[in-house]
Amino acid sequence: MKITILFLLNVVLLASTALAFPYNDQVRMKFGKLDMEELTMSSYAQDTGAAAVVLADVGRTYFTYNSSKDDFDIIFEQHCRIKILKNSGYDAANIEIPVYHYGTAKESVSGLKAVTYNLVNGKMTETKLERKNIFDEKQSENWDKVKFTMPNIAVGSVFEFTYRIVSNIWMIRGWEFQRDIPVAWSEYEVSVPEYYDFLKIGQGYEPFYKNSSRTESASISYLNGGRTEALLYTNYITYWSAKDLPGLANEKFIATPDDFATKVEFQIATIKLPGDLVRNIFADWPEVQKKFLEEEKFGSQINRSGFMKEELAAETSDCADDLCKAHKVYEFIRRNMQWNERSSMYCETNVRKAFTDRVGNSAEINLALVAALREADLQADPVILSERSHGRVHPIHPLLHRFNYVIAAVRIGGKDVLLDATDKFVVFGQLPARCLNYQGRMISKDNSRWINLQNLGQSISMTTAELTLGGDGTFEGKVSFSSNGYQAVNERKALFHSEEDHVKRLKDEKKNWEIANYRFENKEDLNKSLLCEYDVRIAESAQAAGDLIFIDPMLTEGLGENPFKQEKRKLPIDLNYPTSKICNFTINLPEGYEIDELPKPLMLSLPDNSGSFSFSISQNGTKLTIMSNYHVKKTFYMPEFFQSLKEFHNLIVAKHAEQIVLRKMK
Amino acid sequence: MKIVIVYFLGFMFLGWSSVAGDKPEYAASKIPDQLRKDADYVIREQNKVFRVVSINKATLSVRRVVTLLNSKAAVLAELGISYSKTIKVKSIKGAIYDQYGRELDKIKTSDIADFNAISSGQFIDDYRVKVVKADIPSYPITIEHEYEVEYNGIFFYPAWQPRPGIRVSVEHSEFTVVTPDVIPLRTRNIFLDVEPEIKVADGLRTYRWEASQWAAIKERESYQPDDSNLFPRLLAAPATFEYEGFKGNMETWENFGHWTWQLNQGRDQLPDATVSMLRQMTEGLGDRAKVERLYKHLQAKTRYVGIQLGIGGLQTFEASFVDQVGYGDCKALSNYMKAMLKSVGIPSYMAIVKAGDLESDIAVDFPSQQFNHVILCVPMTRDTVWLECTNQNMPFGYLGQFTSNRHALLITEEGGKLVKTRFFSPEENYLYRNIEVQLDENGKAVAELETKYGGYQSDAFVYLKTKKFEDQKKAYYEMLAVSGVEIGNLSFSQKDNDLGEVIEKLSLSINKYATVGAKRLTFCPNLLNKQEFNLSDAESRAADIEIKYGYYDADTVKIFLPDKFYPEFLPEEKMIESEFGSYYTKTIPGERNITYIRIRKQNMGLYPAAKYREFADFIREISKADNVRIVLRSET
Repeated sequence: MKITILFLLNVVLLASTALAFPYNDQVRMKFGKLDMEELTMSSYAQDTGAAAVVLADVGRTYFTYNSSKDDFDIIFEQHCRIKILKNSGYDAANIEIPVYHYGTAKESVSGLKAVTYNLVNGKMTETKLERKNIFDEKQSENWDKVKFTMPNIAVGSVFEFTYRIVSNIWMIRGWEFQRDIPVAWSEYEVSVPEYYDFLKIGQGYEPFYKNSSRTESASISYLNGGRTEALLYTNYITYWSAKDLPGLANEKFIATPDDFATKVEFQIATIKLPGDLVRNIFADWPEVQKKFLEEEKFGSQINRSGFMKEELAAETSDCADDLCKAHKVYEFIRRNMQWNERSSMYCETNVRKAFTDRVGNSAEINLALVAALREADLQADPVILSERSHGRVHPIHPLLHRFNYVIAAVRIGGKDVLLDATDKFVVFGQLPARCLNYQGRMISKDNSRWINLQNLGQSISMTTAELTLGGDGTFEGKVSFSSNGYQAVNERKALFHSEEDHVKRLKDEKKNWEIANYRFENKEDLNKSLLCEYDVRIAESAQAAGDLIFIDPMLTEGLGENPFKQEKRKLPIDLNYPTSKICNFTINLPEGYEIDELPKPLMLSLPDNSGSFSFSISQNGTKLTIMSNYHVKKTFYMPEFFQSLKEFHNLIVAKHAEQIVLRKMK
Repeated sequence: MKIVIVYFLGFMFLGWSSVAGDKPEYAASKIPDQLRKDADYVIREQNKVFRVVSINKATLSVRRVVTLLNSKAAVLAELGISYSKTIKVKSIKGAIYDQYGRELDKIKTSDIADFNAISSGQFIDDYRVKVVKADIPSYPITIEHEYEVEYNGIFFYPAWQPRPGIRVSVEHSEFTVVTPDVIPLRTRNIFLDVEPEIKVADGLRTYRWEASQWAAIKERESYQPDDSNLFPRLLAAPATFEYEGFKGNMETWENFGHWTWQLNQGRDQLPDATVSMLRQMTEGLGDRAKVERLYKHLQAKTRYVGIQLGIGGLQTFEASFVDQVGYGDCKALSNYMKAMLKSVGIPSYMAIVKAGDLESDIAVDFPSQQFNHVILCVPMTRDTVWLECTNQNMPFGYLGQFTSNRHALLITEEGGKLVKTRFFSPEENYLYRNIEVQLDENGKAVAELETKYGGYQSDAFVYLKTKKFEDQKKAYYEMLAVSGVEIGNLSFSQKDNDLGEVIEKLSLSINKYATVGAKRLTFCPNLLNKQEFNLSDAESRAADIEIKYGYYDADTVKIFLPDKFYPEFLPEEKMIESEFGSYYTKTIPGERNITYIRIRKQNMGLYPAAKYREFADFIREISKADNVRIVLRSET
């Protein structure tokens, strides 16, 4: 009997939890009608700490025939209801609707309604948003914003708003199911007449609840020579929904949180109006590539190199092979063009003007590079990509707004060498770290394909020191620091302004080191290791305690803190590039002391062998040699791997903290 | 959080009158060596002319020629000019020149972009900005800008700061103010040793200040006062003025405050229903309890939304509007709180301040617009309650680093009254911590901590307490500079008092707290409160030292030893006394335990540059003592 009762009780409890979030694909939200439980709920069961939750967010895009201009309008509608649970969630009540316009093409907002509901003395009260508290703001040349903030927001408030946007731009608004606060229910339906095809791309770390499609017949009537005629056609309807989505959190070791948001995006692919040819716009990669190659601000630029012909010929005249030519051309463009720090895959002006002005955006510089490589009879093509901060590109479809950058690829000895002439410090064939993002697309007449942009290049540093320890615990000696790859790029960037700046940075990093007589080698020669040598005096890395001296074997170069601090990890870990750090120190011990304790050697590797660490101290008379080798070779790890990375680094921190103990001989 | 005021310091740029062709005089080679030294850019010529036409109309024309020596000065390639309903941009011109002074390009109208300029933290305001940006092919490069703006309505005058920051030198800079005799100019020199040349003619007075050949300051020094002799400036202000139809005089704080009072007068009316509701809410309470009750009501009912429209963001919304919609900016919310207090018979005053964490004070002897925030002052019989009205999580009566310890102007019917907000002594910014640590033979520590934070040391919790538990934990993981740490329990609560006291309980386990040797365990008894040595070893110090924040920390750590281990080495007692503060540590061996005590007091104040060595040594010595380790040895 008891069991039955408990069981029933459970059912009741479940039902009441479910009631607080009544909306799904069966139960629809209606404007102005809300359940008392939406007002009384005080926390969101799926995330009890949430500051606010989207109870339901319902969007729809459809086409309606506009007889006055004999064309379709695109209508977007949104109805969103949000519950405020804590005062830190108040920002959710500030709403901004971006609106685009370009010439006569424009979007216009109408039918905006918004209401806040509060519970006052057990009764529901309503406060409507007043028209005078809605602001239209000019944002930039092509973007405006409609802005409003909800009235009477307090902890416990529920508010909702709805509006529509009428547009004559061939653009379907994307839909973000996930946002910074959790979302209990979100759905989007897009209905497109058979005359148009859109690419529809859904992505996200959280799965969709439903994703379905269907068709529906529709008709329009229009005047034809005074007679009303009807046209029957089919609407293709796609529907997505998602439920119980957690809030998006920014984490360390990711390129950008946008990569993980659940959303759908659209891009016009083909138009096939009755009685007209099928017009492909951005249907598939071959189509898109063709457009790119015909585009005035892209493809047209890579075959116009006449203006630099003579200079290039002089530049490459001594070269016997392709590699040499490619090198010279790359240096020629780097020397003659300065990046204006703007990322784009299209020219703002053109390659020739940018070359003459000696300054340009990423497209102007790298398309000039492609043109120059071709001028030197090399096989070169542009590769479009997305920088890390701009998010990942779609793995299959030509979703163009996901790209924001272009580099050059040149074929040498049957291999693609990737080149970016915007950065003065990378070596030939090394891309700036911001470009190492998943994959890029080569745009070529007959050789278009995906180009891998992961696990390219690495960061290497090696510190060697030859030191003598005095009886007072002070080290004196020489340090030499050599760097390669991305480490060298960073060092050279700092060095670029002045050696003094670089040394200042060094002194800031190593507060307790007295540094003198520094000198650099290979500052200009990017193909060699950058070397920095100096004399040093370190007072704080050994402590005398009675008859004992305690020595930090890593000086201040040990891993002091574990970079992987979080308790749990949900997102994959992206480390950008592989890293190696090698330390090799020799210490001459003071006279009259003997070794009392030495840290034991340690060898570690990550479970998949993608990383390793070794540490050892060897003694040879009064000389100690300390070796520490750290390598992480992979750049992308699944979240399950986080604990392994954390533990790996914990063990390194602990090992690096172990001390050598010396004792005064009696 | 702030009234948006366009400050003219640093941010405004210049232009010129004849942009035609090459300017060999701009060649980078003409810059004298002493101006190149330590400079990223050189102001070749800056000419700023402010013409007062009437008490509500003026123009500012600026011409500036800068040579950028390297890419660290790249931001100078961009000129941004703010404008609004009352500030109109009349013209923008410009050109760039290569290192020989040959003209490379001109600014065209099509190069001018127009953006909204909503400052951070604001939702809507009137400000927009016109931006022109030059592309830089190589350095050095010279950029010439010239523009003119017109003010319709005057509440403040532009300032002049020849050297706007570090790593910039000044070849020549001048500032001219032309004003009718009948509209006197007021100025104040801040560390500025330049007197104007004055000409009187045709009912106009022309003041001209000039600076030439100012070398660059190499770097901003740590603990450098905000107002420092390194960056002299001139403040200017009107005596009489008119803004959006309101005439005023700001020769005294009294007048300044009176004008502000007029602007906002009568905007503190509440609907009768609200008044009777508030009276009911506070019935039977004493005055202080009434204030607290209404403050809690304000925090529950309203929220901050930065909306700055109309009268330059100076006039508050009506209290009745806030009552209806439940939001407003700092003025509107303070005014609303004032209205609520008034309805239960408690007088209070809007207080305008220059807010900002540990922000320096205003120039007290120069009445003028120097403020950006409003709080509320409630005089009580024995003391004064200060209320920050834009934060729903602020303890009642607490002002943190954002507004405390500085001057504020009370806006009263009789005019402005300059008063000081609450001062926090070092002893009031306290941290008292007790830790018990159980150490095992593998070096693992399990620690129970209880900490009290008061005053400025509690500020971070005002924000932290709004985060959800998982995020609080995440923040602690980032804050704890200890590797291999796991947080067990974590809880804290903040009191509603004018010290915002927080009591925090925390339990930690630390995997390798002690390093383990064959026979020994060594560890640092100072678990969480180590002084970092973060000062540069500058051979010469130019700026005075300002310590804006005094505090008092007392830590006690009791470490229970693992079986069979005994202390082999205990650090000696240490005491440091200096005019900058004091430091004391002691390690006391007990029965199977060791107690470590650390007391650190940091004084606040202004110290001469010559004392820098002494100050650095004080911090260095503490940092060293904080890292001293205890050595335990195994009996076996």
